[in-house]
Amino acid sequence: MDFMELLSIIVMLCCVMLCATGRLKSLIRAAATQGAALGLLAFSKSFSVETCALAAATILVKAVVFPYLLNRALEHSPAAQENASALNEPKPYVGYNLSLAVCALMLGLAAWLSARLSSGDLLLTAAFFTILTGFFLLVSRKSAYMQAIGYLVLEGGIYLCAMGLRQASPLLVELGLMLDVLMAVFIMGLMIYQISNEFDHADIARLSNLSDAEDYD
Amino acid sequence: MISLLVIVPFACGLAALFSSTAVARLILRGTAIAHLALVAALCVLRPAPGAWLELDAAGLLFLAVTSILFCSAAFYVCAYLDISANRREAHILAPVFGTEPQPVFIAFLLFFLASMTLACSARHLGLLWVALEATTLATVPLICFHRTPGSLEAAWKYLMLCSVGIALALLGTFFLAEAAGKVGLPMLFDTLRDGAQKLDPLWLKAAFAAAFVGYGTKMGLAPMHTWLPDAHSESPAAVSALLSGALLNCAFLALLRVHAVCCAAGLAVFCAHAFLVFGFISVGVAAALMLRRRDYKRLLAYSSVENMGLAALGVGAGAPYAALLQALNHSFTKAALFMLSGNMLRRYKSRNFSDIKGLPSVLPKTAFLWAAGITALVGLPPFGIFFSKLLLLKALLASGHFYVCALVLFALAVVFAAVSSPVMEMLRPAQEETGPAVERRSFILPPLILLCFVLLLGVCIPNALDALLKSAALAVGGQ
Repeated sequence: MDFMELLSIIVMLCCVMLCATGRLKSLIRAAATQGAALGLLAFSKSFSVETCALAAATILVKAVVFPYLLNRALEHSPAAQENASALNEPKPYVGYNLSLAVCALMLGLAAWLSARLSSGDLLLTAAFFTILTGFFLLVSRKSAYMQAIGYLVLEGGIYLCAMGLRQASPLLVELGLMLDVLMAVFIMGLMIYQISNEFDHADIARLSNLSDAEDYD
Repeated sequence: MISLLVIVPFACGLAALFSSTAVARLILRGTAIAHLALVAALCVLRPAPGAWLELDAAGLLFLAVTSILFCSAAFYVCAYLDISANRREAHILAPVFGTEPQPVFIAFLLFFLASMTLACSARHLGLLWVALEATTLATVPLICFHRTPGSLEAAWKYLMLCSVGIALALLGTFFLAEAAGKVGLPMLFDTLRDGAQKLDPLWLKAAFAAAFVGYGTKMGLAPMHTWLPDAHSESPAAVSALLSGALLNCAFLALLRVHAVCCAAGLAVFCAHAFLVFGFISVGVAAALMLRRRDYKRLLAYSSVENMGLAALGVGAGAPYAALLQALNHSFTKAALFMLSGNMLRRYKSRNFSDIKGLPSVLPKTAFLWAAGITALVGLPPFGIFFSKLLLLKALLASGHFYVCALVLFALAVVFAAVSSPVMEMLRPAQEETGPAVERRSFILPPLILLCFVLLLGVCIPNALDALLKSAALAVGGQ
């Protein structure tokens, strides 16, 4: 088994981990591990100065900056300082056992898709699985932390998909992409911090003051 | 020369970030005027395409609209910041940039301008994606400037929905890159369009579907529009004006770029169906949701969904000229109306129709412009929207979509009723005599100028603009 297959498997295992638990600290760690694996994958795919720089940037953003910002928001939130249960995801729309079943289904779907497109390349399987997991986390979890993690997982999946497909796009575009993701992660971290200060929680399901239903005569 | 247009606002934004409030306001106004002058110069010079940036007719059209709107919004916003200094304002970036919020606000306005300019002039489709994601990121701190719970909620929804939507568009961009890479074409929209015959249609279809959902989210097409009413109603008036007037157009342009490539590759029918279906859903959903609305800013926001839906219908019906004209008219009208809604919000401290009493006697100038703007918005002559809607309906009939045309007409009638009845109520003279409030020139002139543009577009379209619209329609319509 070569290095890239090993990394693809690590990426997929992180996806399973993300679906299986509600402890925010573990979730942040899993997302960071996945980010690091993505960076290493970019590194091992092709070896040049440019890809090295990009891989290093990926690892820096996804495995260092992102977990730092989220952990900081988590530790400084007033809710977490009062009771430890705020360190867990509030009761998700889809329970963890069912989430794991969905996870297995998504893995099957991803394997089928990549078999259709490129005779079952493991990298593409991992890419589709990661994209699906990102979407699943975005719709099935309630806290702002999980939505940020879901976005990062989704973005990582698309990045992986590009790696599996493409012939390489210009450095300027890659750098712009990286910068956008960095800024997105940065702003999300700050927003979560502000939201949990303002509302004493980061539960998106309870952030529903702005709705059409209340705006009618 | 084109790169200057992106670099100047960005550099000025950086400068504003580290200067005092008064200096930052000067920088904002100066940059807005400089940007407008540069765009005017480019309209005349029409520089040759560079490796990364190119201003074709469509890009130039949207860039000119963006620049005009930004210039008027810049003057509006300076007056707004003047009198809102004691209101609750803190920045979500306050922990990073210290406590003085106004320079940060101005800096992000300028970053927003830079990213919109980049989106209008990007030649590489990957760069276009980068620019559109940058517009999302630059506007989040603008939306929650006053840091009310409502604006934080709206900004979070906007950030998540648009980022996820745009991430799908990135997937579409990669699919397109795969199709282009197989035949050795670069990802430049014009070379792709010219060599589209060689591209694999299966990858192109996948790319178009992903890009449509992604950029459609940002453009506010239903059912991906859910972020739009919240973000547009919670942000400060000038920001709402820019979001609605300029940003939706940039997303529309991005979608049109992908559309042009797919049409040239012989997928015109496939693309037209997507535009027709989603355009129709947008018009219908917006019309249904506009009925009996209490909040006038939300009403305006839903009207944006309706108008972008109409523009999409125009593309689907094979009339890109009408679609572009509609987008142009909508930008000017809606930006003016959002600025006027800011005037009312400041005076009455409420976004409810029912709290606005005796508008003509309290804010006479605002009331007059508001009435004119609403007349334009619902599509009455002599304003431009009347003609663009007429062209759109004509195109729908000409392309044989009779039922769609009938249903759209019905939806437009619903919109007319939904908008005009509460507005008539607002414009009724006051029962008790209240003296007129002071209306500063900076709050009246920008919307007045924008409404004059809409009137001009309705009375006669200047020849130069007509030619620009025609070549833009040719460039994006794929015909």
